[in-house]
Parts: sequence; C-alpha cells; structure tokens
Amino acid sequence: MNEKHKVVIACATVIEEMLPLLPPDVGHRILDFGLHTDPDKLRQALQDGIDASSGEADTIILGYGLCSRGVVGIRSTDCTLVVPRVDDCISIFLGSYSAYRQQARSEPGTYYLTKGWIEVGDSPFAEYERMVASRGPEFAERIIRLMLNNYKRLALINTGQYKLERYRDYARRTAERFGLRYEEIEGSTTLVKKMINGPWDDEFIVVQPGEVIELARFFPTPS
Amino acid sequence: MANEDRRQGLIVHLADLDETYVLKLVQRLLDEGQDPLTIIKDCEQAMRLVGERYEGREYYLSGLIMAGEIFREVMALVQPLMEQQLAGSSSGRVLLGTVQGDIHNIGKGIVEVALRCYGFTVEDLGVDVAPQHFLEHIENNPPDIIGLSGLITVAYESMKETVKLLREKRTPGQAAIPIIIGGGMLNETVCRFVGADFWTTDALEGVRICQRIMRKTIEKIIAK
Repeated sequence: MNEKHKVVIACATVIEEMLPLLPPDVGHRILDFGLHTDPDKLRQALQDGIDASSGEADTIILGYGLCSRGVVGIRSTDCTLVVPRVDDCISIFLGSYSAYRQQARSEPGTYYLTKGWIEVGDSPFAEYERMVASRGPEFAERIIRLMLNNYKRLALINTGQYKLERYRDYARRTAERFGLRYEEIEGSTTLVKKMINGPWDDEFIVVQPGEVIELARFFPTPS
Repeated sequence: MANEDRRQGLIVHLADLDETYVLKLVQRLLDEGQDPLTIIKDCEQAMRLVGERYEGREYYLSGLIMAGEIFREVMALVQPLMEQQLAGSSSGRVLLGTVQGDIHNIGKGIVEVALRCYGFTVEDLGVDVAPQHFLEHIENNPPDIIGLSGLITVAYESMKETVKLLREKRTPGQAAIPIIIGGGMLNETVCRFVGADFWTTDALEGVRICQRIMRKTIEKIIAK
C-alpha cells in the first residue's frame, strides 16, 4: 500500500455527523447503535470491523468514545487506531471533552438527544411508546418514571449539520410530556473535523499497530 | 400446590415480570413459614433468567428495570423476617452514594434493600455526591464499608477521585475502609483503574462481598 488510506468505523448516530464532512477517499463502516448497552458485544463488533478493514487502510478512525469501556482491549495488527479521548458520543457532538464535562458538572441529570438518537429510536422515550403498546400505559408510565428519576433536563444538541425543526418539535413535546426542562445546546463539528483530518493531538488516543487500547489512556495523569 | 411447584412458580413468574403473582406468592410462602433465604435464592435464579432474556434481546431495558423493581419489593417483604432471624444485631455499616456527575440510582436502591435484608445498617448519601462530601461524612461517622455507585462512563473518573481522596486523607495508623464500586458497566479493569478493593454488577453479589469483608474484619479483631 503506497498511499495512506483512512477508514472510519462509527456508531450509527456518530456517522450521521461525520458523513457530510467525509472526503470521498475515506471509507466507512457503520455499527449498530444498540451495541452501546453491551460493551462486550460492542468490543467484538469493533474488533471484527477493524480486522475486516485492515486490508483497506493503514489508519482506522473510531467514531466512538470510551463508551462504557467498549473500545478497551481492541487492537489492530497492521493499522494505526485513532479514537477521540472522550467518554462517549455526547462529547463528539458538543465538540470536545471539556464542553461535555462542563455540561455534565453543571447539570448531570440531563438526557441528550440528537437527530441520530431520535431516528434510531433507542431512548427511554421510544421505549415508552413500545411499553404502552406491549404492556399498557400504566406499566409504561411507572417504568419511565423510574428510568428518568433524577433527570431534570432534556437537551437537544444542534450540531448545525441538518435542519432541526422536526427533531426540535419531537424533543420539545417529549420534554413537556415527561416533565423535563427543554433546552437546545449548541453543538460543534470541531472534534468530528479533527477526527477526520487531524491533527490527532491530546484530544485523541493514537494506538500503533499491535498495541491495545487501554482504559487508563482515556484519563491521562495531569502533568 | 406443592412447595417445590410454588418455588418453581416464583422463578417462572418473576422471570416473566408478573408482579402481582410474585408478590402474592411470596407473601403466601412467608405465611407458610418458608425460609426467606430460599425465597431470595429463587429470586436470584429468576433474575439470571431475566438477564439472559435481555442479552437475547427478548427484553428491553424496561424489562430489566421492572425485574429489579419486583426484586426490590420481594426483598422488602422478606426483610422483617430476616431481621427477626438476625435478632436485631447489625451485620455492619455501609455507606452508599452515586458518585459526582452521575444521577442513576435504581441499582443502588436495590443494593440498599438487599443489604438491609441481610442485617446491614445502610446510609445513602444520594446521587451526584462529590468526593469531599464522602470524606466529610466518613470523618464524622466512619462506616465499615463504602459503596460507590455509578452507571455512566463519567462515573469512572469520579470514583477514582473519590477513592484517591479517601485514601489520602486517611488518619495515619487507621485501617483503610474497604471500598466497593457497583454499577452495570463495571469490570476488573475499571476496578483497577479506580483503585477500589472490590467491584460488582450484581446486588446480591455486593451483599456477599460485604459479608466476606465483615467476616475478615471480625477475624482480625479476634486475632488481636
């Protein structure tokens, strides 16, 4: 392989934000959003994706964060792996780890939504609709109250990548229905752009061929 | 219905999330003098089935939460009898709290009820608890065991900060209070990173860890 080739492996929600910015020569693979609830399955799916991509590229960019340690333990025998040093995709949508930290510290009881999450339908609100259909409204109400216990705010992240009206309407209605305060948070494509084009600085973990992604690398010791 | 059939019925109906049936059956079993420990053991088996159904995508998250809710209610039913068996003596004192940046408390609530069932005295500091708040509380009222709870990834770093602060500020010569981390997304790697002594993703396993810790504590006291 003479030319440097990059491939992106990303979650279905993250790829929504990456695709409009992805140059035609950068390939991509999409993994199921549902994997985020099962770190072991996510790890296996990522490892399979990396193994399958290794003939196509010399650098693999992972459209994931630590994601409940789903990326911990994966490796590539012959590609460099690049993963943003973030907890999960919320930081990616907000543009940086520090932007997310600021939000998380100021109001930890926040449920975040983006276009991707709304469309994939893997949220307590989508599950509420399924519960109403399968077990009735009383059951659904009881469970959603438990799920949302201590949540105060529903925040729609506006990354500016798409028309928001439809999603804004859904998020507003959902917040009102479940007694949450609705807020729209300004997102950013800064981190997504850096993921694709570099520079892969302190905001990234760069793992050389043969090395394993270790948990501690997500939390560097302050110098 | 024979006793064995009833016990099997408890497992099947809890795994099927049939709350009304389960609670009535548990009450009847208790009225008939069934050992509460047997009831808990059967519930544990049912919870394993629920976990398998979730992994097999037969249940969604709501199924897990409902199972936890029924389990918590069963534990509350058996608690008075368990207390009688323990004759009012405390098994140990446990301080619980969800760490800073995290507000999830369903699992912690189940652990709390389970610990009380087994005779532990439990104090819960709530959610989004700052490391300093844990420290201040412990200085005034030291427990036998500390349980740090957290579900989201943000919790890992907060757990680490909390463990570090509690270890640093320990009175010289005083034994370290054992720290357990609990939550659905933990494993050995996270435990090592955080610097905690034990980890668990399972409420009853958490109780067993606390019991082992207390046995060792008592053995040490006797040996002195």
